[in-house]
Amino acid sequence: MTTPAIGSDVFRWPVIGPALRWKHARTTLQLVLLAVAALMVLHGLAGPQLAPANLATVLTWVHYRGLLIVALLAAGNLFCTGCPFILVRDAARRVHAPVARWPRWLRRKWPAIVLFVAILFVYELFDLWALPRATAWLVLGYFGAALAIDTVFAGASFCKYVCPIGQFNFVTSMLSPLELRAREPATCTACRTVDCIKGRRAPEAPLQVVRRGCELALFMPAKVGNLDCTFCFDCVQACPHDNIALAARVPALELADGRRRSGIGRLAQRWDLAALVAVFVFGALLNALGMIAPVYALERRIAAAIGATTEAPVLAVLFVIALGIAPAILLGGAATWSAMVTGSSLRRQLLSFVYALVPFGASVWAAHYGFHLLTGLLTAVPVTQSAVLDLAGQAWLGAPRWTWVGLQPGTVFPIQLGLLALGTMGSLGVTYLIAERESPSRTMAAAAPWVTLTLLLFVVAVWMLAQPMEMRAAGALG
Amino acid sequence: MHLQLGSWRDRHRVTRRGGPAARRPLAYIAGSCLALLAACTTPDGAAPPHLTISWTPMPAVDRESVAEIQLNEAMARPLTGARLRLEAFMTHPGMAPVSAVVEEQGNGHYRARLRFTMAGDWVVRLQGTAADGRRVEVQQEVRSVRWPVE
Repeated sequence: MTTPAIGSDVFRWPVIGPALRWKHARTTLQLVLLAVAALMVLHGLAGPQLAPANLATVLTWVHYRGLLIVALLAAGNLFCTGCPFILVRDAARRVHAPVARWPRWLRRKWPAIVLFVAILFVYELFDLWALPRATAWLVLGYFGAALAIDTVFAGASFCKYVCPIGQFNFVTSMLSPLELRAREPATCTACRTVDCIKGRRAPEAPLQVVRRGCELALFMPAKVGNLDCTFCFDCVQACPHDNIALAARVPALELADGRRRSGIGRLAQRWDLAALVAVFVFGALLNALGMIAPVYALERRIAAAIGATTEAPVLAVLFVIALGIAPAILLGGAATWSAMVTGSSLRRQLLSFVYALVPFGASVWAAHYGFHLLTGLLTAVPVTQSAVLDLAGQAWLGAPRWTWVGLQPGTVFPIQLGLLALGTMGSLGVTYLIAERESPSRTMAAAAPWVTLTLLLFVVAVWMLAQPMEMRAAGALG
Repeated sequence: MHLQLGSWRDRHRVTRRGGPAARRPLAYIAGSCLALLAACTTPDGAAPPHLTISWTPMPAVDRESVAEIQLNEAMARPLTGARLRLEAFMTHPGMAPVSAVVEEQGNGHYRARLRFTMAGDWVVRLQGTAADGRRVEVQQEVRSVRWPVE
């Protein structure tokens, strides 16, 4: 564990540092996002069912997704910090405190992976981006799920094991330039109260926790990287020694860190985390694929081959290919190749090297969501004007200026290419580091299969971005 | 490092101060949301006019199409004298809309010239005011706008 230099600790920066460490900082951010979510839900349910003119669809599918990934890549997991689901959950826990523990057999990422895939599937099947009311219900569903799970099960069971957005954030936050870590390891070694995980107790009543510790079971002295960290700052508030830094670091380096992680274990021993990363990477390509013209021809071919007349079975086949067969062949092939040249086991190679694809996967998400954010950034203005008109009946913010949009789609293409190139280079770098760790004597030979796979995926992604876009709310079959 | 962390429940149970008073803000927020939602979901008044649009030529990207619009009220009575504007949005939010001037041709028939800018699904929305001052808003999907075949 390295001690961050003072200058790299954001908590010690003027203005920003004290603001972040303010004990109500998270609640304030959550209240802002709760207010935005409430407006989105209201407009989604009661406003016009025209996606570009509704806050629910515009803010969810254009702004939230784009800003989420910008925040993750530029700073850290700030949208989990401001998560309004958890604010409502905390309020509900005042009424009904949970007593049960999340079932042991579910303490893996499998439920979240299933939900992640389900959301991607439903998004494509029902064209959620075009449905304000359905989008509003999706947001309400998240609130309901967080409430239902976390008022029954203690800790952050919803965040750690269920929330698909949370898992997306956890994986992407491995590329973030900031992480919470102990400022002075020696202070942690000497600490006997471990408030960062147990919570801070009231001096007069030692059984009462007045500032909770990490709900995701990340024990600060043994915490490695950002995985599973929601940036809630509970540990910061609980630590009596002011020994936790929001430290700058080299993004993505933790992907090659083979150490045991508190609350997680070793990455190379977790099939569920490997599967999550595979879904993250191939899901990025699949989600972007849904926006380009050739996918409709492909859907028609699949429909003809299986004799389908509705979209669901066609989409299911596409998902099985993209998230099952293709990853199995490509990842399995690369792992077999590297296992052959290094003499290591296929399992070890797969579970070690799959994390190298995270930077590439994140770059595909960033290129896709960044496109919508940049081309639609200013649409928040007219849709807000329109929402005020819809909800209040008065044009208090003026008539909607629908011509306020964003960058021209063509101008975003070089930015997308740059993001893909950065992500690919990141993946190549992490591949090398993992190969060096796993096979010091045969580094290049061990890395070669994964370098080949990364470059192949890069070519596929560039090809996809170069295709004409065809934003269709109806599948190939209507 | 080996540490005794105490019982799991002790670690995760945060003692809160305050009883029913602490629950009031939650009740106020929930109540306000429900009230606002109820206020926003007042039933519509008169049924919107029936919209029919025929395109010449069929819409394609970056090619002007003429929209022949027929607006009829109940009993197929033409909606005449309306002042309308036409906007076309992609079904995907965040993309640039296009707009067109709507000219009345008489007998509930209106005409607009429109140039779609991207391939995909669009929604054409007509908004304006009827001759008697009623607000008019109707929309229709235009699916699968594609690049013209040369």
